[in-house]
Amino acid sequence: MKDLRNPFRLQAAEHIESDIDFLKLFGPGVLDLLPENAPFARTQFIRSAPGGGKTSLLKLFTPSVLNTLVALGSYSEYKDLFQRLKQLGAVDENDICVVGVMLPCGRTFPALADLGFPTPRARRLLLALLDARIMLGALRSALTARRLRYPADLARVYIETTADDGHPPGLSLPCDGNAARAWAESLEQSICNVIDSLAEPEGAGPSGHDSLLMLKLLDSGTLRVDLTPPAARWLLLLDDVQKLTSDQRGALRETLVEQRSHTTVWVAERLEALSQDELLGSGALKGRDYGDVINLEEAWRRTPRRFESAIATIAERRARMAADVATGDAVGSFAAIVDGALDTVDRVDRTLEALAVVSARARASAIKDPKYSEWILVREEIEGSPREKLLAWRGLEILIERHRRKNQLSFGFALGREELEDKDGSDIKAAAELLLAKEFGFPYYFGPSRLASLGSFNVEQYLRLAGDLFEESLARGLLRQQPNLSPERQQEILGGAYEARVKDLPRRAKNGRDVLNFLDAVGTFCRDVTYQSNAPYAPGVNGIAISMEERKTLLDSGAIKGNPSNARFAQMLATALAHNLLHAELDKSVKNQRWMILYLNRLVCLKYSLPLHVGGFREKPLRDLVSWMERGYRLSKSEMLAL
Amino acid sequence: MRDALAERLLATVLDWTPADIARERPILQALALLKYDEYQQFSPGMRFVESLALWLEQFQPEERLIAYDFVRSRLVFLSESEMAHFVAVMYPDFLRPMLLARAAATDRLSPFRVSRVANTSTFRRLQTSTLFFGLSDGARIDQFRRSNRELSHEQIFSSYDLPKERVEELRSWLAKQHRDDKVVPAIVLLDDFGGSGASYIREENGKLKGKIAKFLQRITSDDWKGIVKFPETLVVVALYVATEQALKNIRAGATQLEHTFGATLELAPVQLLDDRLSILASSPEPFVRLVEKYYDAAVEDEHTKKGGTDLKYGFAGCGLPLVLHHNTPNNSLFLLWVEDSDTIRPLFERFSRHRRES
Repeated sequence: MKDLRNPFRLQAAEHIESDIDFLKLFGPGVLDLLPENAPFARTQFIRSAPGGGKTSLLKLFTPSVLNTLVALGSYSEYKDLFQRLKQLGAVDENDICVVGVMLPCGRTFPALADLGFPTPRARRLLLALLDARIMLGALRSALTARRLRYPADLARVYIETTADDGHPPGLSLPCDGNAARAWAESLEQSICNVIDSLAEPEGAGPSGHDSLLMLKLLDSGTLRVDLTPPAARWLLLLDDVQKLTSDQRGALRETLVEQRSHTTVWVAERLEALSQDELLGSGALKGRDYGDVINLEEAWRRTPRRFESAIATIAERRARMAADVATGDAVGSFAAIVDGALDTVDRVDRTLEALAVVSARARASAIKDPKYSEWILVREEIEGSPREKLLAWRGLEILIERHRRKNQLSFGFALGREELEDKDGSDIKAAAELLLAKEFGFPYYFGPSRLASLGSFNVEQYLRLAGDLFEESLARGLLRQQPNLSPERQQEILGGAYEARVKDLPRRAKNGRDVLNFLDAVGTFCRDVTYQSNAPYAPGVNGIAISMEERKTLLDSGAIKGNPSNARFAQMLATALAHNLLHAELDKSVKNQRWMILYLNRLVCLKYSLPLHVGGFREKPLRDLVSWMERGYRLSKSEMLAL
Repeated sequence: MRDALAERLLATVLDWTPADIARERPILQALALLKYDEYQQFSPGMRFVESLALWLEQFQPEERLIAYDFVRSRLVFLSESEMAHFVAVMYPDFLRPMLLARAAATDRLSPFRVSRVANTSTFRRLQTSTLFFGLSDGARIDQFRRSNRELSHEQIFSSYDLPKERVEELRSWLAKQHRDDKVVPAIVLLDDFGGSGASYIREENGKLKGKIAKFLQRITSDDWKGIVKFPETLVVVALYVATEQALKNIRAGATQLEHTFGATLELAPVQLLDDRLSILASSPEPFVRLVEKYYDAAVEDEHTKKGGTDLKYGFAGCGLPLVLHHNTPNNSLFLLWVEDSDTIRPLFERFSRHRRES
């Protein structure tokens, strides 16, 4: 591994070369998202935005990683992971129980699609190429599972004749590993020759396969090493499936479903591979784990506490690894560098100043309108730290403002303590914190919990943010300063995240510019709505909602055809969802209507100083949102007055 | 010095805050890891960050950031793998097309019908009897040989100074290869870097000097009779890296070579360094102030004077912000490579051919 100084920068599993380092950094929390019998179940689709952790999850089940884990399972550092994999049945005390065959789908397959063959022939060649690569992967994995060398020990692999006649054409059974390898390489080469040929490719090359014949061969259990199966179960791990074309993905999915293979297949793909309909349709977004599909971000969203705990573990492991390389600057614990409290001695003066301002303002309101006198008395009596008092006084201001707006014509009866207690909930406290942050410049985006929220349920997004903080902590260590970062400094560092991580979307997605325009409009709108003195949607708004009726029009190809603006909006929405910049919740019932809510990625919330809580949204007609995307954020006169 | 110590020194020298370190350190470490640490003239144990810290320390505090910005944004370092790439592509991408074009013209074929031209006997003869000579160690003849298996080892020479016996062997080999036609169609002179072009060709006291002139004098002697015949034999100067200034100077000298020897000269630079890369006294960059202020004229000698300028902006005033992984050219800015000075230290120590006796 090249740079261990800041292991938070090691993001893609494929860049972590050593199995031990990989295991050291792997957070077992993600395994909780898998069904109990996952390595033995039927085909499983694993989806997420980039950086969701798909490749890491797949790599964990490869034999070299599992073998390493079995060897290290008794060490405290690996015990949790070992036990979890044991529960899943992937390993037992002494050996591995599944042989993972990992196959990245980025190479060659898309080129095959460019040949322009008729669908049946393209499909046969795709399946043949997959079979060739599965054979090569299976031979390598079988030997690795037995701790043998590939290709030196191929002679110890033996493939028996299968009972049915479904074995791959051209492969004479029985044969040893060398013959199987030669067959696979020759098949792969012949298909590559078709791709490379300058001549008309139609009719040239191998005829291809009509199903995944290698799956049948693996199912039959006839591939053995030293006459015994390499492990109890084969697990085919197809990674980067989003790199296949849409037709290829369709063909692969159909084949897997039709074939009902005994061998378990995991298909990992980015959300961007899904069609616009899939992304906007209920299947991909409802967040239901209906057996065959796990959407990692969705799954985490259902258990946010678990996500927080899982990424905290990942962060601690990375911080520990930095300390292990003994640069002398690393503190060895991530939690120790991220200060989570504002109620500290050094901030007392600033807090007291703010408290004086806010309490004076509230008292002035009560002098003008004596019905709030009792509420003021309650606040005068409150005990706690200066910060707690400040939050309570600011909360009172919100409640007075709300009451005043709602009850302008009411009689001047004094308001009692009970009424205040009824109204004074956690949402008011949260809104007060946000408003104080804006008014007095207190930091808001800091501490482990908010950092986890800013990850928007995507492991890579979290690691990038945590990596920025960790880098500065290392820098402080270098200067022999305390390595922990103050809340103010955390917020400053995190403040640059949107520019660094989201702004380049137009380079990554074809309608990225529309997405940025739309996010900007929604962010500005949410900010306008959030920062009202009565905090009407406490703690604030960070989402918008489209009615389910209008959503239907985005899915209706006929309606879309006649309305280019809506078509562009639907495309924009699909891109934003695929890149985890928006998160959709369907069928939410509000005011007797059904809505699709679109929540902003938390990095967008950071840019527009919005709260990180889930729940605050405003309903908007589709035409307004389309106009925001096309022309930027504008409010009607009545909306402006309302604000 | 341990990396962390060097980084701490650098942070102190530049008066960096933790935020500055967090921003700059990953970039510096990546640059050091990918390129700068491989500089071959660093003394044992010395690495880039340490050298940078010590180099910056000699400037006034307010000047250090100017020097640091220069290193971050203007320095060009050509690594071992980049140079190896230039060597590998020299023949297939630069010289072979030249030979193909010549064969196409001879046989009156379209130069775009590459396969057809490549199958002609004219091209085959051009390819198999062109001779390649290294003009210095930097020509990396070993790599050039290994990269071009279609060329015979007998055609490629690591030096341009062949003893008489070796010339005779060459004559016999050519006779065996091409029987009646022993005159070679082209001679390629390979070298790694052309900065000012003065070492290749220049006029001194009315006489032509430099490696090319010297070489042409040799091969027009009786020893080479029958092997080389101008203008039939084309001379190609093939440089892995060259400045525009070097090419301009060599081209200017080519006219005189043609006049003196009847030889036609062509140039084949792989990586051309644009004139805009140079930093000169007239450049608006603040680093110029440091170049002027810290110049030590005591390092000039009879060799450096051949460039016709002082050494502030390097030999012959090339003003290059350039470092090659094995050495820093003296055409680069003085502050980068200064040697034998009692007042100023270099960032990349240079090993010089004309080193002073200590």
